[in-house]
Amino acid sequence: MIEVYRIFQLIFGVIVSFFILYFLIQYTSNYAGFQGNVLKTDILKSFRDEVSDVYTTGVYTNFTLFSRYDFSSCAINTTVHGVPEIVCDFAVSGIPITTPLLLCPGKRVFLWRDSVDLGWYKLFYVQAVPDMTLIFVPMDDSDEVWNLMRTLVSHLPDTSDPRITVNIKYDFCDGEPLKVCGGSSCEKEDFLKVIENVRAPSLRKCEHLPQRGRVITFSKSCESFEGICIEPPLMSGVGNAYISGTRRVFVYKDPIDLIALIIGYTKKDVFGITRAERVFDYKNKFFSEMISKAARISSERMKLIENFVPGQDECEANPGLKNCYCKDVYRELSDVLHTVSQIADSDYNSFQDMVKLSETLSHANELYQVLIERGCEYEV
Amino acid sequence: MRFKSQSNLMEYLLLIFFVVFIIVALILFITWWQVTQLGMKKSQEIEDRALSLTKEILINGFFVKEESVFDDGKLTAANTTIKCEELKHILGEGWFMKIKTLDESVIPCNEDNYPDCNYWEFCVQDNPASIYAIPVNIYRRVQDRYDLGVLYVGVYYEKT
Repeated sequence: MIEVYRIFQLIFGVIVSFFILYFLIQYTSNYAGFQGNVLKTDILKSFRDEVSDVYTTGVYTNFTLFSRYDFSSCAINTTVHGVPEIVCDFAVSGIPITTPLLLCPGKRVFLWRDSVDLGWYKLFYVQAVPDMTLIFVPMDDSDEVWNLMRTLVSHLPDTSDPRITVNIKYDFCDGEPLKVCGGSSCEKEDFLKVIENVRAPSLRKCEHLPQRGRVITFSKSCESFEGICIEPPLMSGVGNAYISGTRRVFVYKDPIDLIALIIGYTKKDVFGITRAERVFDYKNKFFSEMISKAARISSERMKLIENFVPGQDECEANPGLKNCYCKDVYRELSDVLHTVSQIADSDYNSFQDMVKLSETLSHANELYQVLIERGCEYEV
Repeated sequence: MRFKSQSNLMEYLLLIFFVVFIIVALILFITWWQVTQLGMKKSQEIEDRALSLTKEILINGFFVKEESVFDDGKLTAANTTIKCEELKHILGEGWFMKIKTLDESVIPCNEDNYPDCNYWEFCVQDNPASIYAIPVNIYRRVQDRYDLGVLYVGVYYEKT
Protein backbone atom coordinates (compact mmCIF):
# COMPACT_ATOMS: atom_id res chain seq x y z
CA MET A 1 0.00 0.00 0.00
CA ILE A 2 1.31 3.44 -0.92
CA GLU A 3 2.42 5.56 2.01
CA VAL A 4 1.01 9.00 2.78
CA TYR A 5 4.52 10.31 2.48
CA ARG A 6 4.79 9.05 -1.09
CA ILE A 7 1.50 10.70 -1.98
CA PHE A 8 2.80 13.94 -0.51
CA GLN A 9 5.99 13.58 -2.53
CA LEU A 10 4.04 13.11 -5.71
CA ILE A 11 1.68 16.01 -5.16
CA PHE A 12 4.36 18.38 -3.93
CA GLY A 13 6.66 17.36 -6.79
CA VAL A 14 3.95 18.09 -9.34
CA ILE A 15 3.24 21.51 -7.83
CA VAL A 16 6.91 22.51 -7.64
CA SER A 17 7.59 21.20 -11.15
CA PHE A 18 4.68 23.21 -12.45
CA PHE A 19 5.99 26.43 -10.91
CA ILE A 20 9.56 25.80 -12.07
CA LEU A 21 8.43 25.00 -15.61
CA TYR A 22 6.17 28.05 -15.68
CA PHE A 23 8.97 30.47 -14.76
CA LEU A 24 11.45 28.72 -17.03
CA ILE A 25 9.13 28.85 -20.03
CA GLN A 26 8.25 32.47 -19.37
CA TYR A 27 11.92 33.44 -19.03
CA THR A 28 12.88 31.44 -22.13
CA SER A 29 10.17 33.00 -24.27
CA ASN A 30 11.10 36.52 -23.08
CA TYR A 31 14.76 35.72 -23.67
CA ALA A 32 14.03 34.31 -27.12
CA GLY A 33 12.05 37.43 -28.02
CA PHE A 34 14.81 39.64 -26.63
CA GLN A 35 17.50 37.71 -28.50
CA GLY A 36 15.45 37.89 -31.69
CA ASN A 37 15.34 41.67 -31.45
CA VAL A 38 19.05 41.78 -30.59
CA LEU A 39 19.80 39.73 -33.72
CA LYS A 40 17.63 41.97 -35.88
CA THR A 41 19.39 45.05 -34.51
CA ASP A 42 22.77 43.41 -35.14
CA ILE A 43 21.74 42.71 -38.73
CA LEU A 44 20.72 46.36 -39.19
CA LYS A 45 24.04 47.54 -37.74
CA SER A 46 25.88 45.14 -40.01
CA PHE A 47 23.90 46.55 -42.93
CA ARG A 48 24.83 50.07 -41.91
CA ASP A 49 28.52 49.13 -41.80
CA GLU A 50 28.31 47.55 -45.27
CA VAL A 51 26.62 50.70 -46.58
CA SER A 52 29.39 52.82 -45.07
CA ASP A 53 32.05 50.62 -46.73
CA VAL A 54 30.35 50.90 -50.11
CA TYR A 55 30.10 54.68 -49.61
CA THR A 56 33.77 55.12 -48.77
CA THR A 57 35.26 52.65 -51.27
CA GLY A 58 32.80 52.79 -54.16
CA VAL A 59 32.93 48.98 -54.42
CA TYR A 60 29.50 47.40 -54.85
CA THR A 61 28.35 44.33 -52.93
CA ASN A 62 25.40 42.10 -52.09
CA PHE A 63 23.76 42.02 -48.68
CA THR A 64 21.80 38.87 -47.89
CA LEU A 65 21.25 38.93 -44.10
CA PHE A 66 17.81 40.50 -44.53
CA SER A 67 16.54 37.06 -45.56
CA ARG A 68 16.70 35.86 -41.92
CA TYR A 69 13.84 38.01 -40.66
CA ASP A 70 11.20 40.33 -42.04
CA PHE A 71 12.72 43.78 -42.61
CA SER A 72 10.10 44.97 -45.09
CA SER A 73 8.87 47.65 -42.65
CA CYS A 74 12.30 49.33 -42.43
CA ALA A 75 12.78 52.80 -43.86
CA ILE A 76 14.99 55.81 -43.25
CA ASN A 77 13.52 58.79 -41.46
CA THR A 78 15.09 62.18 -40.97
CA THR A 79 15.02 63.47 -37.41
CA VAL A 80 14.63 67.02 -36.18
CA HIS A 81 17.78 67.34 -34.10
CA GLY A 82 20.00 64.49 -35.17
CA VAL A 83 21.12 62.32 -38.06
CA PRO A 84 18.64 60.21 -40.03
CA GLU A 85 17.73 56.81 -38.59
CA ILE A 86 16.73 53.41 -39.96
CA VAL A 87 13.40 52.67 -38.28
CA CYS A 88 11.48 49.40 -38.37
CA ASP A 89 8.18 48.27 -36.84
CA PHE A 90 9.88 45.79 -34.51
CA ALA A 91 12.44 48.21 -33.04
CA VAL A 92 11.69 50.71 -30.28
CA SER A 93 14.38 53.14 -31.42
CA GLY A 94 16.06 53.75 -34.77
CA ILE A 95 19.60 52.97 -35.88
CA PRO A 96 21.41 56.26 -36.70
CA ILE A 97 22.93 56.36 -40.17
CA THR A 98 25.13 59.17 -41.47
CA THR A 99 25.70 57.71 -44.94
CA PRO A 100 23.30 59.12 -47.55
CA LEU A 101 21.26 56.05 -48.53
CA LEU A 102 18.21 55.31 -50.67
CA LEU A 103 16.80 52.09 -49.26
CA CYS A 104 14.30 49.52 -50.40
CA PRO A 105 14.68 46.37 -48.25
CA GLY A 106 14.23 42.89 -49.68
CA LYS A 107 15.47 39.34 -48.98
CA ARG A 108 18.71 40.32 -50.65
CA VAL A 109 19.79 43.80 -51.69
CA PHE A 110 22.43 45.18 -53.99
CA LEU A 111 24.53 48.03 -52.59
CA TRP A 112 26.30 50.39 -54.91
CA ARG A 113 27.48 54.00 -54.91
CA ASP A 114 26.17 56.70 -57.20
CA SER A 115 26.80 60.43 -57.17
CA VAL A 116 25.18 63.79 -57.79
CA ASP A 117 27.66 65.96 -59.68
CA LEU A 118 27.00 69.68 -59.27
CA GLY A 119 30.35 70.72 -60.78
CA TRP A 120 31.67 72.51 -57.68
CA TYR A 121 30.58 69.64 -55.38
CA LYS A 122 30.01 65.94 -55.78
CA LEU A 123 27.60 64.27 -53.39
CA PHE A 124 28.05 60.52 -53.08
CA TYR A 125 25.20 58.34 -51.90
CA VAL A 126 24.40 54.62 -51.74
CA GLN A 127 21.48 52.76 -53.29
CA ALA A 128 20.22 49.58 -51.59
CA VAL A 129 17.87 47.86 -54.02
CA PRO A 130 16.31 44.37 -54.13
CA ASP A 131 15.60 42.23 -57.20
CA MET A 132 13.38 44.11 -59.62
CA THR A 133 12.56 44.59 -63.28
CA LEU A 134 12.08 48.19 -64.36
CA ILE A 135 9.50 48.47 -67.11
CA PHE A 136 9.64 51.72 -69.08
CA VAL A 137 6.49 52.87 -70.84
CA PRO A 138 7.26 56.00 -72.88
CA MET A 139 3.93 57.30 -74.16
CA ASP A 140 5.72 59.82 -76.39
CA ASP A 141 9.04 59.74 -78.20
CA SER A 142 10.19 63.32 -77.62
CA ASP A 143 13.83 64.21 -76.95
CA GLU A 144 13.03 65.18 -73.35
CA VAL A 145 11.53 61.78 -72.58
CA TRP A 146 14.36 59.86 -74.24
CA ASN A 147 17.03 61.99 -72.53
CA LEU A 148 15.28 61.57 -69.21
CA MET A 149 15.13 57.77 -69.64
CA ARG A 150 18.80 57.65 -70.54
CA THR A 151 19.74 59.77 -67.53
CA LEU A 152 17.62 57.69 -65.17
CA VAL A 153 19.05 54.38 -66.35
CA SER A 154 22.60 55.73 -66.06
CA HIS A 155 21.91 56.40 -62.36
CA LEU A 156 20.50 52.91 -61.76
CA PRO A 157 22.54 49.80 -60.91
CA ASP A 158 24.29 47.45 -63.33
CA THR A 159 24.02 43.85 -62.10
CA SER A 160 25.60 42.08 -65.09
CA ASP A 161 28.59 40.97 -62.99
CA PRO A 162 28.05 37.22 -62.36
CA ARG A 163 29.21 37.68 -58.76
CA ILE A 164 26.16 39.80 -58.05
CA THR A 165 23.27 37.66 -56.83
CA VAL A 166 20.65 40.44 -57.07
CA ASN A 167 19.06 40.97 -60.49
CA ILE A 168 18.00 44.39 -61.71
CA LYS A 169 16.70 44.26 -65.25
CA TYR A 170 15.28 46.78 -67.67
CA ASP A 171 12.62 46.47 -70.35
CA PHE A 172 10.13 48.39 -72.45
CA CYS A 173 6.41 47.69 -72.46
CA ASP A 174 3.65 48.20 -74.99
CA GLY A 175 0.67 46.29 -73.65
CA GLU A 176 3.05 43.48 -72.70
CA PRO A 177 6.73 43.57 -71.70
CA LEU A 178 8.65 43.61 -75.00
CA LYS A 179 11.74 41.65 -73.82
CA VAL A 180 13.93 43.64 -76.18
CA CYS A 181 17.20 41.89 -75.38
CA GLY A 182 17.06 38.56 -77.14
CA GLY A 183 13.68 37.58 -75.72
CA SER A 184 14.35 38.67 -72.15
CA SER A 185 14.76 41.83 -70.11
CA CYS A 186 18.02 43.71 -70.46
CA GLU A 187 21.00 44.43 -68.35
CA LYS A 188 21.75 48.13 -67.91
CA GLU A 189 24.37 48.57 -70.65
CA ASP A 190 22.33 46.63 -73.20
CA PHE A 191 19.25 48.68 -72.35
CA LEU A 192 21.20 51.91 -72.81
CA LYS A 193 22.19 50.69 -76.28
CA VAL A 194 18.53 49.97 -77.06
CA ILE A 195 17.61 53.50 -75.94
CA GLU A 196 20.30 54.93 -78.26
CA ASN A 197 19.19 52.96 -81.31
CA VAL A 198 15.44 52.61 -80.98
CA ARG A 199 12.85 55.32 -80.54
CA ALA A 200 9.20 54.39 -80.59
CA PRO A 201 6.45 55.38 -78.20
CA SER A 202 4.29 52.86 -76.39
CA LEU A 203 0.65 52.88 -77.45
CA ARG A 204 -0.92 50.86 -74.68
CA LYS A 205 -0.71 50.61 -70.90
CA CYS A 206 1.37 47.80 -69.53
CA GLU A 207 -0.25 44.55 -68.40
CA HIS A 208 1.07 41.10 -67.39
CA LEU A 209 3.95 42.51 -65.45
CA PRO A 210 6.81 40.18 -64.55
CA GLN A 211 7.36 39.30 -60.91
CA ARG A 212 8.87 42.25 -59.05
CA GLY A 213 8.14 44.49 -62.01
CA ARG A 214 8.03 48.25 -61.51
CA VAL A 215 6.26 50.29 -64.15
CA ILE A 216 7.58 53.75 -65.03
CA THR A 217 5.35 55.63 -67.46
CA PHE A 218 6.45 58.79 -69.25
CA SER A 219 3.52 60.88 -70.39
CA LYS A 220 2.51 64.52 -70.79
CA SER A 221 -0.70 63.70 -68.97
CA CYS A 222 -0.64 61.27 -66.04
CA GLU A 223 -4.32 60.54 -65.62
CA SER A 224 -4.63 56.79 -65.53
CA PHE A 225 -1.52 54.77 -64.82
CA GLU A 226 0.01 52.13 -62.64
CA GLY A 227 3.23 52.48 -60.68
CA ILE A 228 5.06 55.73 -61.39
CA CYS A 229 4.15 58.35 -63.98
CA ILE A 230 6.64 61.04 -64.94
CA GLU A 231 5.74 64.13 -66.93
CA PRO A 232 8.54 65.53 -69.11
CA PRO A 233 10.34 68.48 -67.51
CA LEU A 234 8.51 71.79 -67.98
CA MET A 235 11.15 74.37 -67.10
CA SER A 236 14.87 74.23 -66.24
CA GLY A 237 14.76 70.45 -65.85
CA VAL A 238 11.95 70.61 -63.29
CA GLY A 239 8.78 68.56 -63.74
CA ASN A 240 6.07 66.60 -61.93
CA ALA A 241 5.80 62.92 -61.12
CA TYR A 242 3.03 60.82 -59.60
CA ILE A 243 2.66 57.55 -57.73
CA SER A 244 -0.42 55.38 -58.09
CA GLY A 245 -2.37 55.14 -54.87
CA THR A 246 -1.58 58.68 -53.76
CA ARG A 247 -2.74 62.08 -54.99
CA ARG A 248 0.46 63.83 -54.05
CA VAL A 249 2.39 65.65 -56.80
CA PHE A 250 6.14 65.05 -56.60
CA VAL A 251 8.23 67.91 -57.98
CA TYR A 252 11.51 66.61 -59.38
CA LYS A 253 14.51 68.79 -60.19
CA ASP A 254 17.24 66.21 -60.66
CA PRO A 255 17.33 62.53 -61.65
CA ILE A 256 17.87 61.42 -58.06
CA ASP A 257 14.40 62.64 -57.09
CA LEU A 258 13.01 60.19 -59.65
CA ILE A 259 15.44 57.46 -58.56
CA ALA A 260 14.08 57.90 -55.02
CA LEU A 261 10.53 57.36 -56.29
CA ILE A 262 11.56 54.32 -58.35
CA ILE A 263 13.43 52.75 -55.44
CA GLY A 264 10.59 53.43 -53.01
CA TYR A 265 7.75 52.50 -55.37
CA THR A 266 4.14 51.96 -54.37
CA LYS A 267 4.15 49.70 -51.31
CA LYS A 268 2.28 51.32 -48.43
CA ASP A 269 3.04 51.13 -44.72
CA VAL A 270 0.47 50.70 -41.94
CA PHE A 271 -0.31 54.43 -42.11
CA GLY A 272 -1.08 54.30 -45.83
CA ILE A 273 2.07 56.22 -46.81
CA THR A 274 3.85 54.83 -49.84
CA ARG A 275 7.51 53.93 -49.50
CA ALA A 276 8.20 56.26 -52.46
CA GLU A 277 6.99 59.22 -50.41
CA ARG A 278 9.25 58.31 -47.50
CA VAL A 279 12.34 57.86 -49.68
CA PHE A 280 11.56 61.06 -51.61
CA ASP A 281 11.11 63.11 -48.42
CA TYR A 282 14.28 61.70 -46.88
CA LYS A 283 16.26 62.40 -50.07
CA ASN A 284 15.10 66.00 -50.27
CA LYS A 285 15.55 66.80 -46.59
CA PHE A 286 18.94 65.17 -46.03
CA PHE A 287 20.55 65.75 -49.43
CA SER A 288 19.36 69.36 -49.49
CA GLU A 289 20.89 69.97 -46.10
CA MET A 290 24.24 68.63 -47.31
CA ILE A 291 24.11 70.71 -50.48
CA SER A 292 23.22 73.82 -48.48
CA LYS A 293 26.21 73.39 -46.19
CA ALA A 294 28.53 72.50 -49.04
CA ALA A 295 27.44 75.64 -50.86
CA ARG A 296 28.09 77.75 -47.79
CA ILE A 297 31.60 76.31 -47.39
CA SER A 298 32.37 76.69 -51.09
CA SER A 299 31.06 80.26 -51.15
CA GLU A 300 33.36 81.22 -48.28
CA ARG A 301 36.25 79.37 -49.95
CA MET A 302 35.73 81.36 -53.16
CA LYS A 303 35.87 84.59 -51.12
CA LEU A 304 39.13 83.51 -49.45
CA ILE A 305 40.79 82.57 -52.74
CA GLU A 306 39.54 85.68 -54.54
CA ASN A 307 41.91 87.77 -52.37
CA PHE A 308 44.93 85.88 -53.72
CA VAL A 309 44.30 85.77 -57.46
CA PRO A 310 45.49 88.59 -59.72
CA GLY A 311 43.01 91.20 -60.95
CA GLN A 312 42.40 92.11 -64.57
CA ASP A 313 44.95 94.95 -64.59
CA GLU A 314 47.71 92.71 -63.28
CA CYS A 315 46.85 90.01 -65.80
CA GLU A 316 46.98 92.45 -68.68
CA ALA A 317 50.31 93.82 -67.45
CA ASN A 318 51.79 90.31 -66.92
CA PRO A 319 50.20 87.88 -69.39
CA GLY A 320 52.14 84.88 -68.02
CA LEU A 321 50.65 85.08 -64.51
CA LYS A 322 48.81 82.07 -63.10
CA ASN A 323 45.10 82.18 -62.15
CA CYS A 324 44.43 85.03 -64.56
CA TYR A 325 40.98 86.40 -65.34
CA CYS A 326 39.42 84.47 -62.47
CA LYS A 327 38.93 87.14 -59.81
CA ASP A 328 35.53 88.33 -61.05
CA VAL A 329 34.37 84.77 -61.61
CA TYR A 330 35.31 83.85 -58.04
CA ARG A 331 33.36 86.82 -56.74
CA GLU A 332 30.30 85.99 -58.82
CA LEU A 333 30.46 82.29 -57.96
CA SER A 334 30.73 83.11 -54.26
CA ASP A 335 27.50 85.13 -54.49
CA VAL A 336 25.71 82.45 -56.50
CA LEU A 337 26.75 79.73 -54.04
CA HIS A 338 25.60 81.90 -51.18
CA THR A 339 22.18 82.01 -52.88
CA VAL A 340 22.27 78.22 -53.33
CA SER A 341 22.97 77.75 -49.62
CA GLN A 342 19.92 79.83 -48.77
CA ILE A 343 17.47 78.21 -51.18
CA ALA A 344 18.77 74.60 -51.17
CA ASP A 345 16.54 73.61 -48.29
CA SER A 346 13.48 75.60 -49.34
CA ASP A 347 10.16 73.86 -49.92
CA TYR A 348 10.93 70.96 -52.25
CA ASN A 349 7.22 70.55 -53.04
CA SER A 350 7.06 74.02 -54.59
CA PHE A 351 7.54 74.02 -58.35
CA GLN A 352 8.68 77.68 -58.48
CA ASP A 353 11.21 77.23 -55.68
CA MET A 354 12.68 74.18 -57.37
CA VAL A 355 12.92 76.00 -60.72
CA LYS A 356 14.86 78.77 -58.98
CA LEU A 357 17.12 76.24 -57.28
CA SER A 358 17.72 74.35 -60.50
CA GLU A 359 18.60 77.53 -62.39
CA THR A 360 20.93 78.72 -59.63
CA LEU A 361 22.70 75.35 -59.49
CA SER A 362 23.14 75.39 -63.28
CA HIS A 363 24.58 78.90 -63.10
CA ALA A 364 26.99 77.87 -60.33
CA ASN A 365 28.10 74.88 -62.39
CA GLU A 366 28.71 77.05 -65.45
CA LEU A 367 30.84 79.50 -63.46
CA TYR A 368 32.86 76.68 -61.93
CA GLN A 369 33.49 75.18 -65.38
CA VAL A 370 34.84 78.60 -66.47
CA LEU A 371 37.26 78.50 -63.54
CA ILE A 372 38.39 75.01 -64.53
CA GLU A 373 38.92 76.07 -68.14
CA ARG A 374 41.03 79.02 -67.00
CA GLY A 375 43.16 76.75 -64.81
CA CYS A 376 42.02 78.28 -61.53
CA GLU A 377 40.11 75.31 -60.14
CA TYR A 378 40.18 71.51 -60.22
CA GLU A 379 37.52 69.01 -61.23
CA VAL A 380 35.85 67.47 -58.19
CA MET B 1 8.85 5.47 11.77
CA ARG B 2 7.28 8.87 12.15
CA PHE B 3 10.65 10.51 12.61
CA LYS B 4 12.02 8.67 9.61
CA SER B 5 9.15 10.00 7.50
CA GLN B 6 9.70 13.53 8.74
CA SER B 7 13.40 13.23 8.01
CA ASN B 8 12.68 12.04 4.45
CA LEU B 9 10.28 14.92 4.01
CA MET B 10 12.92 17.45 5.13
CA GLU B 11 15.45 15.94 2.75
CA TYR B 12 12.98 16.24 -0.08
CA LEU B 13 12.16 19.85 0.72
CA LEU B 14 15.83 20.75 0.97
CA LEU B 15 16.49 19.11 -2.38
CA ILE B 16 13.69 21.07 -4.00
CA PHE B 17 15.01 24.25 -2.43
CA PHE B 18 18.51 23.70 -3.82
CA VAL B 19 17.20 22.87 -7.28
CA VAL B 20 15.15 26.09 -7.36
CA PHE B 21 18.14 28.02 -5.99
CA ILE B 22 20.39 26.70 -8.77
CA ILE B 23 17.85 27.56 -11.45
CA VAL B 24 17.46 31.12 -10.14
CA ALA B 25 21.25 31.49 -9.87
CA LEU B 26 21.60 30.36 -13.50
CA ILE B 27 19.04 32.93 -14.63
CA LEU B 28 20.80 35.70 -12.71
CA PHE B 29 24.16 34.64 -14.13
CA ILE B 30 22.88 34.69 -17.71
CA THR B 31 21.39 38.15 -17.14
CA TRP B 32 24.64 39.44 -15.66
CA TRP B 33 26.55 37.94 -18.62
CA GLN B 34 24.27 39.74 -21.09
CA VAL B 35 24.75 43.07 -19.31
CA THR B 36 28.55 42.63 -19.32
CA GLN B 37 28.50 41.72 -23.00
CA LEU B 38 26.47 44.84 -23.77
CA GLY B 39 29.07 46.97 -22.01
CA MET B 40 31.90 45.42 -24.04
CA LYS B 41 29.85 45.79 -27.18
CA LYS B 42 29.36 49.51 -26.52
CA SER B 43 33.10 50.02 -26.25
CA GLN B 44 33.67 48.10 -29.50
CA GLU B 45 30.96 50.14 -31.21
CA ILE B 46 32.65 53.40 -30.26
CA GLU B 47 35.90 52.20 -31.85
CA ASP B 48 34.08 51.00 -34.95
CA ARG B 49 32.30 54.32 -35.23
CA ALA B 50 35.58 56.23 -34.96
CA LEU B 51 37.03 54.19 -37.82
CA SER B 52 33.90 54.54 -39.92
CA LEU B 53 33.83 58.30 -39.34
CA THR B 54 37.49 58.58 -40.33
CA LYS B 55 36.81 56.82 -43.63
CA GLU B 56 33.75 59.01 -44.34
CA ILE B 57 35.63 62.23 -43.59
CA LEU B 58 38.38 61.22 -46.04
CA ILE B 59 35.91 61.43 -48.92
CA ASN B 60 33.59 64.14 -47.60
CA GLY B 61 33.28 66.94 -50.16
CA PHE B 62 32.98 69.53 -47.38
CA PHE B 63 36.70 69.16 -46.64
CA VAL B 64 38.49 67.29 -49.43
CA LYS B 65 39.72 67.99 -52.94
CA GLU B 66 39.79 64.25 -53.65
CA GLU B 67 39.99 61.12 -51.50
CA SER B 68 42.51 61.59 -48.67
CA VAL B 69 43.56 65.02 -50.00
CA PHE B 70 42.19 67.88 -47.97
CA ASP B 71 41.70 71.37 -49.38
CA ASP B 72 43.00 74.07 -47.02
CA GLY B 73 40.47 76.58 -48.39
CA LYS B 74 37.56 74.25 -47.66
CA LEU B 75 38.89 73.46 -44.19
CA THR B 76 39.29 77.13 -43.34
CA ALA B 77 35.87 77.99 -44.80
CA ALA B 78 34.20 75.14 -42.90
CA ASN B 79 35.92 76.25 -39.70
CA THR B 80 34.61 79.79 -40.04
CA THR B 81 31.13 79.24 -41.46
CA ILE B 82 29.78 75.92 -40.14
CA LYS B 83 29.08 75.46 -36.44
CA CYS B 84 29.72 72.16 -34.69
CA GLU B 85 25.98 71.71 -34.09
CA GLU B 86 25.36 71.81 -37.82
CA LEU B 87 28.06 69.24 -38.54
CA LYS B 88 26.54 66.99 -35.89
CA HIS B 89 23.36 66.93 -37.94
CA ILE B 90 25.32 65.39 -40.82
CA LEU B 91 27.97 63.29 -39.07
CA GLY B 92 26.30 62.53 -35.74
CA GLU B 93 27.16 63.49 -32.17
CA GLY B 94 30.09 62.97 -29.88
CA TRP B 95 32.97 63.19 -32.38
CA PHE B 96 35.80 65.55 -33.19
CA MET B 97 38.34 66.13 -35.94
CA LYS B 98 41.74 67.81 -36.07
CA ILE B 99 44.13 68.27 -38.96
CA LYS B 100 47.62 69.62 -38.70
CA THR B 101 50.55 69.82 -41.06
CA LEU B 102 53.85 68.34 -39.97
CA ASP B 103 55.32 71.72 -38.97
CA GLU B 104 56.26 72.10 -35.34
CA SER B 105 54.21 75.25 -34.80
CA VAL B 106 50.43 75.22 -34.38
CA ILE B 107 48.69 78.14 -36.08
CA PRO B 108 44.88 77.74 -36.08
CA CYS B 109 43.37 78.88 -39.37
CA ASN B 110 40.79 81.61 -39.78
CA GLU B 111 39.79 84.03 -42.54
CA ASP B 112 42.35 86.61 -41.39
CA ASN B 113 45.52 84.50 -41.41
CA TYR B 114 44.67 82.18 -44.34
CA PRO B 115 46.78 80.70 -45.99
CA ASP B 116 49.61 81.26 -43.46
CA CYS B 117 48.30 78.75 -40.96
CA ASN B 118 48.44 75.00 -40.47
CA TYR B 119 45.84 73.73 -38.02
CA TRP B 120 42.09 73.09 -38.19
CA GLU B 121 39.83 71.60 -35.56
CA PHE B 122 36.12 70.77 -35.37
CA CYS B 123 33.97 69.92 -32.33
CA VAL B 124 36.91 69.43 -29.96
CA GLN B 125 36.15 68.93 -26.26
CA ASP B 126 38.23 67.95 -23.27
CA ASN B 127 36.90 64.38 -22.84
CA PRO B 128 38.37 60.90 -23.26
CA ALA B 129 37.86 59.49 -26.73
CA SER B 130 38.74 56.66 -29.06
CA ILE B 131 41.00 58.29 -31.68
CA TYR B 132 42.39 57.34 -35.08
CA ALA B 133 45.39 59.26 -36.46
CA ILE B 134 46.32 58.86 -40.11
CA PRO B 135 48.64 60.71 -42.51
CA VAL B 136 46.94 62.79 -45.18
CA ASN B 137 47.79 65.30 -47.89
CA ILE B 138 46.68 68.91 -47.63
CA TYR B 139 46.35 70.85 -50.88
CA ARG B 140 47.44 74.46 -50.39
CA ARG B 141 45.34 76.26 -52.97
CA VAL B 142 47.10 79.64 -52.91
CA GLN B 143 50.63 78.23 -53.03
CA ASP B 144 49.49 75.40 -55.37
CA ARG B 145 51.41 72.73 -53.47
CA TYR B 146 50.71 69.67 -51.32
CA ASP B 147 51.74 69.50 -47.64
CA LEU B 148 51.85 66.41 -45.48
CA GLY B 149 49.65 66.39 -42.44
CA VAL B 150 47.98 64.20 -39.84
CA LEU B 151 44.25 63.75 -39.44
CA TYR B 152 42.90 62.93 -35.98
CA VAL B 153 39.31 61.68 -35.76
CA GLY B 154 37.84 60.63 -32.45
CA VAL B 155 34.56 59.58 -30.85
CA TYR B 156 34.02 60.52 -27.22
CA TYR B 157 33.22 57.75 -24.76
CA GLU B 158 30.61 59.86 -23.05
CA LYS B 159 28.10 61.85 -25.11
CA THR B 160 28.10 65.57 -24.24
